[in-house]
Parts: sequence; C-alpha cells; structure tokens
Amino acid sequence: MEICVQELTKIIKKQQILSNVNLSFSGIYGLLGPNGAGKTTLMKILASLTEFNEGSVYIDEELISTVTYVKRTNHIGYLPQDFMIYPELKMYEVLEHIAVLQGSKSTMSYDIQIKEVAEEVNLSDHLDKKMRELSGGMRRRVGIAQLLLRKPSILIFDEPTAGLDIEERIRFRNLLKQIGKHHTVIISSHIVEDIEFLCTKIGVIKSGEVLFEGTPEELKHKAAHCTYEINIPLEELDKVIASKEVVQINEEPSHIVVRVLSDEPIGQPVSPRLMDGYMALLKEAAHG
Amino acid sequence: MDKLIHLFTFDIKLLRYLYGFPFVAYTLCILLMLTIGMRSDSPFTSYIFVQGIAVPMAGLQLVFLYNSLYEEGARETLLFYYRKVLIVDVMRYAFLHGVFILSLVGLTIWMNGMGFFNSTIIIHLIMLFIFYQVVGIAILSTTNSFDITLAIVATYTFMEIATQGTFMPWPHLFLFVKPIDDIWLWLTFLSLGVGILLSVVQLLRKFR
Repeated sequence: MEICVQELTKIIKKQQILSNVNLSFSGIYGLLGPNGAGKTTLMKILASLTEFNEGSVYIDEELISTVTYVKRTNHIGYLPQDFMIYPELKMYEVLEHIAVLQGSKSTMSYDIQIKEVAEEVNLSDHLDKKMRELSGGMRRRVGIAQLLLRKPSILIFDEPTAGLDIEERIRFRNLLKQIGKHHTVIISSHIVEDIEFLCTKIGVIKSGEVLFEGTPEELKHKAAHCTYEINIPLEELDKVIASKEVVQINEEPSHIVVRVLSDEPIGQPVSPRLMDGYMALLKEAAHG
Repeated sequence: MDKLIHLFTFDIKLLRYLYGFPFVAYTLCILLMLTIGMRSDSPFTSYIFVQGIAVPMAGLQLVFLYNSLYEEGARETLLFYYRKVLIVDVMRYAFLHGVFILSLVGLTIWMNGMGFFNSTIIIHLIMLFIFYQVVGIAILSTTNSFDITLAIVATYTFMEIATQGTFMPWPHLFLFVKPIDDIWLWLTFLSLGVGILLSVVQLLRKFR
C-alpha cells in the first residue's frame, strides 16, 4: 500500500509547522529530520490524531482526508514514542481488551490471537506481567502487538528506538524489518543508523519543509565528492572540530580518524554513508 | 453479550475500589434520605440528595474510566479504540445508573407520595441525569486532566447544593423548591439544555 500526502500544511498559533509537504510513503519508509522538524506532527496527521490546515492524503490514490482531517481508517496503525496504557493491568488483559474493543473479525479466539502476536513480538513469557513492570523496549513491543491485533496495512512508528539500550534497539530494529515484509512501515526518527539499517525509501524534512525524498543511495550521493577522512593526533581534535564539518570521530591506538564534509579536498576521499548524505543535505539547506 | 460482560469486567479490573464509588454514594444517599429527609418538613430535602449526590456520582463513573485515555503515553493509542466504544460506554453506564436512580426515585415516591413527581420534575431529572453523564467526560476531554475535571464538577455541585443555588452567580441546575413557571425555571432548563448540547458537541469533536 502507498500513502501519499499532497500540499499538506499545518499551522499552530500562527507558526507554520508543516509547509506544503509532498511525500509518498511505501515499503519501509524512513522519515528523517532534526528535532522540531515536524515529523511527529506529520505522523499524527496521518494517524488521524490531529487536524491539518490544507492539503490532502491518499491511500493507493483513494482520497482518505476531508478538508482538515484524515478520515478514521483501519488501514493505519500508529505507535507513539512514549507508548504506555493501563499500567496496573497485565499485558494479557490489555491485549485482550484491545482485541475486544477492536471487534476482531478473525475466526480465531482472542486467546489464540493474543498468544500469536505475543510470540511475534517475542513477549510470550511476559503475558502475566503488569504493564508498569515491563521495560521501555518491551512496552513498545506490546505497542506493536496491539497494532498487529488490528492488522492495519500501514504501520507508523514515531522514534521507535529512542531511549532504548543497544540490545533492545537491535531487537526492535530486527522486529521492524520482519514487520516490513508484510506491511508498509513508516519510521520517523532522528537516528540515522535506524533508517540506514531498515529503510528502502527516505524522506528528510526540516522546519516543516521537505528537503529530500528518494532512495538511501540517492541520499548518500548528496555527500559524494565532499566526504573525507583525516588522521590527526589527539591534541589537534579540538581545533579540527572547531574549524571543520565533522561527521564522525573514531579513535585508533595511535591517532584519531575524523570524518569530515568539505568542499575543499582534505585528507583521504571516502565513499559517503547515509549519515554523510544527511549531514550534507542539512548543511546545504542551512546555507540556502 | 460476551462483549458487554467483558467491558464491565475490564472496567472493574481497571478501576478496582474506585468502581464502587457511585454505589457507595447511592448507599449514603439512601441513609441521608431516610434520616435527614424523613425528619424534614420539606418534601424536597430528600430529593435534593438524589439530585446532588446520586446523579453527579453516576456521571463520575465515566470520568474515572476515561481518565486512562489521558494518562501519559496513552491517548494516541487508546483514542482509536475509544472512538469506537464511546457511545456504547455512555449507553451502558446510563442504563446501569439509570436503574439505581430509578430506585431512589421509588424511595422518594414512597416518602413523598406519587404526586411529588409532576412532569416538570420528571423532565428536569432526566435532563440533569443526561447532563451529568456527558459533562464530566466533555470537561475531561477539554482539560485532559482528571484532577481539574473532578475539581470543576465537585466544586460546582457542592457549592450549589450547600448554598441551595443562592450564592454564586452562575447557571443553577438543581431544583430546591417546588417548581413554579417563572423565568428561573426556564433558565434552569435552558442551562441544562445548553450544557448537554455543548458537551455532546465537544465529545463529537474530540472523538470523531
């Protein structure tokens, strides 16, 4: 399924949060942008949680928005960054309630469905735990489980790995990759590594405006011919950080390897990665 | 039927002791009617307990339940589901508490005689009941805060009942004396009607 937004504009208190946004979400889609870019607002508009001022939204070319609202649709499921419901109830009770509220059309009993989705998100052993006893990563997996009970075609995740430890982040990424085989997945994040690992298409927004939409390769290409690595002694690091556009720093036993974006040739030219392309794009936008 | 049983069972699990509050209020109401109401010369004394304790507490049950929607991190997830069941929730609790309020009406009739409930009082009670069923969640959906909602509803109700509608210059929703066809009666009905209408509009806006 493909979801398209056309000329979407959102204004809050005279401030333009989104400005004529045109994007076409399909496959596993990564929406990148710095904090305050308007990513969460866009996700909430798609999930019918907030209004917009102008524009339209389509699913597979069918209009799903009214003048100011995306119509309530079963096609779209949204997982917020800070998912938490019914903290004093057990995970099984929560999922059972969601299944009943959803009014599942499946012939399977609720019990089988719940056990199936719990298995899918690797939480079968935690069904009897209270929601408040689960870790942040587990809670988000419960969030995915409740979405899977609904079986929406399009799943929207807002900053899905923010605040998770490394182990849980990797587990979560793998889970999203699995889910992406059967659903259209939209991941909003400011963490480039998540997007690089998962996404087949990327959009970048900043200050409510679309800077880029295309494949990861096309985004990497934004930093072609301007990505370099320089080897410096540790003492020079502060000077380099102050004077160059540093993207990454790696510590080697005898020296520091600094990855920089530069219009002038400096050090060893290297093939750009997604982070380089993203930073080059933001730099380009900042310089107009 | 299974769904209905599940919904009630889940609500009890969710609210635990809080679920029993309205029923405790009904018990208190009966005790006050049978003690203070019996001793009073005015037939309205016992009926004030029905209006001021039982009816508002019946409306608070939905506020307790919908508070889950406004806890941190829940709204974006639960709103999708609650949109589907809002009307069912309002109806099932209106029915449940309607039965208890009717029982209290029966007690009032037993104490004051059948003639007490003329058409004005009956229509007023129905409107007051509907008002309290919807106004709490309407305020909750506006303030997004259980505490503020409870404070508004409790302060208004307590001030009105304690002062019998003579203290604050705000709309008066209760009947404290036998109604006579005057401007104040019409203002009471108008206030209830506007309150119900605004609450319904707010709920439709927030849960569409």
